[in-house]
Amino acid sequence: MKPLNEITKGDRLHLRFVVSAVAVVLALVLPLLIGNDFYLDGLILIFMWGTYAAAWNILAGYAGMVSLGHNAFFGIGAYTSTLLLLRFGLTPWAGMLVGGMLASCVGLILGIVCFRLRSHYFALATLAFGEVTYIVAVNWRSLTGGSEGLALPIQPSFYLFSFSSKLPYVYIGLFFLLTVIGISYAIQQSRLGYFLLAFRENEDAARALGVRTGRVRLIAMVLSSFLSAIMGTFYAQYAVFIDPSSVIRIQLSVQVALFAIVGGVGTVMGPVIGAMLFIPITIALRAKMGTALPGLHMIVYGIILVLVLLYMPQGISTKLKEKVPLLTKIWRG
Amino acid sequence: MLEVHDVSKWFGGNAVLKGVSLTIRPGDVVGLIGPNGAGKTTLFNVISGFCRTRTGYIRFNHTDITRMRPEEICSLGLCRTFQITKPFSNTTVVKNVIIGALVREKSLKRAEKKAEEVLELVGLHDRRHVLGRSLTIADRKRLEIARGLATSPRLFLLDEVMAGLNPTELQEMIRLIGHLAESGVALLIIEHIMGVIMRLSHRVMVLNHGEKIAEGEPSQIACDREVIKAYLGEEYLIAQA
Repeated sequence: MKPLNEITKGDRLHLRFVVSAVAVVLALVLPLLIGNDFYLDGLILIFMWGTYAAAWNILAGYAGMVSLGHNAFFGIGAYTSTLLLLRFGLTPWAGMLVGGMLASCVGLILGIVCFRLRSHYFALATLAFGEVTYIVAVNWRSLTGGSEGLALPIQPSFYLFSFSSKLPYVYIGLFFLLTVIGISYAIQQSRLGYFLLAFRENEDAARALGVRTGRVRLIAMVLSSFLSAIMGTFYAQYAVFIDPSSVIRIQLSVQVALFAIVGGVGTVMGPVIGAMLFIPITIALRAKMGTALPGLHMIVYGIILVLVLLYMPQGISTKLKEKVPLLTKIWRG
Repeated sequence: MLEVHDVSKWFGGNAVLKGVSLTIRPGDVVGLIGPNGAGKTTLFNVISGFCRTRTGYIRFNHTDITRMRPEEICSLGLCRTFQITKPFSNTTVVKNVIIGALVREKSLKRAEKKAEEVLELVGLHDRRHVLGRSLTIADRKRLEIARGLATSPRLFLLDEVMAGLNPTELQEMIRLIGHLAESGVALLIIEHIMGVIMRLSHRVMVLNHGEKIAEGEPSQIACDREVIKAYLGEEYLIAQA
């Protein structure tokens, strides 16, 4: 093998392609080999949470605006598609897009109102927004069914986005994950990505260089909330039951933030790595301990968070790039 | 090209700028001097859109920019640097400059090319893969200029780009600014080093306590009584007489 510094751009593209192809093929074939619902469920959760965390990361990582109200978008996605299905029989595939667009509009308004706030204040304002959405969902019983929640019909069909086996969910989840990774990568390599970077690093300097900081952040917000809502629909279709405490509770936002921060905020793969680390731990603890020590996984989350922030404050993904220079050579981003 | 008419700025009860007017024609190199706290940087902030004036108006190439935001003003071709440099710290020098170039250039490829050219010009090309935060003061000042130049300004406001440089670096910076002036970019320069400002500028404007106390050719300014009073005090004049 050639020394690292001799890797040319052609080699790099070549390697990048090979590594990506191997990863994708592995992800495609692996579920077929597993054939065990317990592990497949784990995969689905990883894909779902990875996608959701990556969606959160588009705003928090690239624009540097940490939102703790992303549970609202998840909830809007879940409730919109489910209500459209239950009331009007609309296929969740379309409901998912409607939910995404609704969430984008809400995100846009939230952005216009809250983007004048900085760092902690923005986080607090979005936190309040998420909480308000939760309270509305609990109390608007005629629409949402309140705390009793909504059950989705279980009739396996593609039209109803409902399947008897777990495999289709695995592949749909994988599709969304790859899509959001692709979008993140494209943002990072585009004008938008450069402008968001400029805003995140220094707002005054960015504006002095002609960066329309308000507009680029709104674009990030719209994308981020759209993708979060899509995952809300995915969750609803997979869990076949939603209530405010499962799709709009504040812990959802905290959890995605945790995944992305531990994995590496502002990186393409960080949020996915975070989900790949945390979900198996959660599942394993639940399986081993059962209900003996409920909440144990939260303690473990806390310990991991502290350790990561102490030893690799930039997140696992960034540390990985430092330790394995080959990765940086292949992916410059 | 730039017409600043009767601008004023208050911070609380303090008037920082009082009815300042200034005209810059294409290709002009204008020096802006004055003691500390005279309002030089505030004037820059008002022109570049970071602060709003309470009175008067500012026009740039016949467009009224008085109420425009900095990013809009920059896209019209009026760019500024910051006295306290503001590099994008956690990214490379070349990416810093690409961001400037992208404002006018839609394609990343062409922006990269433009950034390379500008880096060559300001002498940062060999440090283009260094992170913004690890640059020396002199290089940070160069980076400020490089990023600004990448936006292809027609009027460039330079805020103390020579402060804190050693004699060698200073000579390089003077050469660079001379080069910019020759290339036809109009310049408005804040500077404390008199020798430099007198040599580079076609015209010098002096601010004191937010008021314009003199404007004219460098040689006139150097013997202006008001200017000497502002810098050295009344006693100096009396002692001279």
